[in-house]
Amino acid sequence: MRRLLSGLVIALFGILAVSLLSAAQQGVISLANPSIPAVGSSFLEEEAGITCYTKVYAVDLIEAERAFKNVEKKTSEYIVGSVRVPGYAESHDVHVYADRTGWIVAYYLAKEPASKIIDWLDYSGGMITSTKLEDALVKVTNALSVELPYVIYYDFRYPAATKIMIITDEETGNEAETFRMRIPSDYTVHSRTWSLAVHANTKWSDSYTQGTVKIDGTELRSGRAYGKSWSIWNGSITPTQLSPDTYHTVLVRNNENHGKGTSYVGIVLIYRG
Amino acid sequence: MISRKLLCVVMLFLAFGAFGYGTKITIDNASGIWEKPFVYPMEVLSIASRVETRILAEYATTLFEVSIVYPNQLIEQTSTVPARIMVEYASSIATFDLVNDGLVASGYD
Repeated sequence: MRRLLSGLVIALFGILAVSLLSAAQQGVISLANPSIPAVGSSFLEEEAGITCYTKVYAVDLIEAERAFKNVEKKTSEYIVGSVRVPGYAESHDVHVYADRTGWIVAYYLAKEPASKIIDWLDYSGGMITSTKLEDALVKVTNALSVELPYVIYYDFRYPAATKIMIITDEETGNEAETFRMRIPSDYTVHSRTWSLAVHANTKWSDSYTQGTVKIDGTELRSGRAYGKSWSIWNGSITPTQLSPDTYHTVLVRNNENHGKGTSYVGIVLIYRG
Repeated sequence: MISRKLLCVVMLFLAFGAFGYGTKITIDNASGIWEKPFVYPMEVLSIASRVETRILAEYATTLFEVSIVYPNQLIEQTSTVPARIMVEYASSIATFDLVNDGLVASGYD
């Protein structure tokens, strides 16, 4: 009994040590997330949402402009405009800022869901290897004939967030696929968004593939793609639909109508944890 | 003595295990999980704050049908572009009309 009590005392001491360590780590995070420098607000803070950026040695603005579909503003110091993502409609164009010092910033507007960054046309199941924002950065660095050195993500809407996670799944034939997810209550989730992509791949223009995404049985979206085409939708999940400390089931259903096709689902979380 | 040490190790393991339980996002049976840390772009912001332009964010993704008449070519070109592009058009063409849901805006530069 004495041994058991000794063990319990040591275990409690261990829990206390871990709590202190956790608090110390939180302090480090807050130091790594400083307030905005007092040099005036940036247009990025006003209009950008989900963002990724890199820095190369220098940007030749004339060379960089080749990657732009439209130029909104160009000076001797920087260029702002939009870059087309191959295979996507104009509404998927990525906004890009680049300046002579080497910064290249690709972003979607603050009113757009973070799930828009998923590059479904380049996705073949399993791990995501790139995003549309990264595609835009690559286009600019290719125009500059330099390698993309690194990519860093940020979301200007959620300065307290520390991570982004994308969870994906897919289904073909006339089947449904599910996965479960559980978010601990000690995580602060700032954004929960979904993306549904349906890829129809038939030679008949009136044949279609229908995709549906549900969370715990509640439909988020259902839609079709005809012939050889993609249809993509994005939206938000409410905090109630993805309540903490509970397993939630995400379902993607694929239905083929005289043709072949695949439905993909992505859940994007922006959180502090 | 040995058994006490062993008991302490087991208790510590259980304590740490219990503390760690539930502190990670748990995902079962998904095809892919992609996670990236966020890094505050302070250096980018301090440079980008010098950008003079103020983007028309509320119109930035609204699509307008743009009819352009080039002054020297007698060519009328119509295309659908985001309204934000009108900044570029306004500085490079003579006449432009933006049409969206019945709203027509004309300009001359």
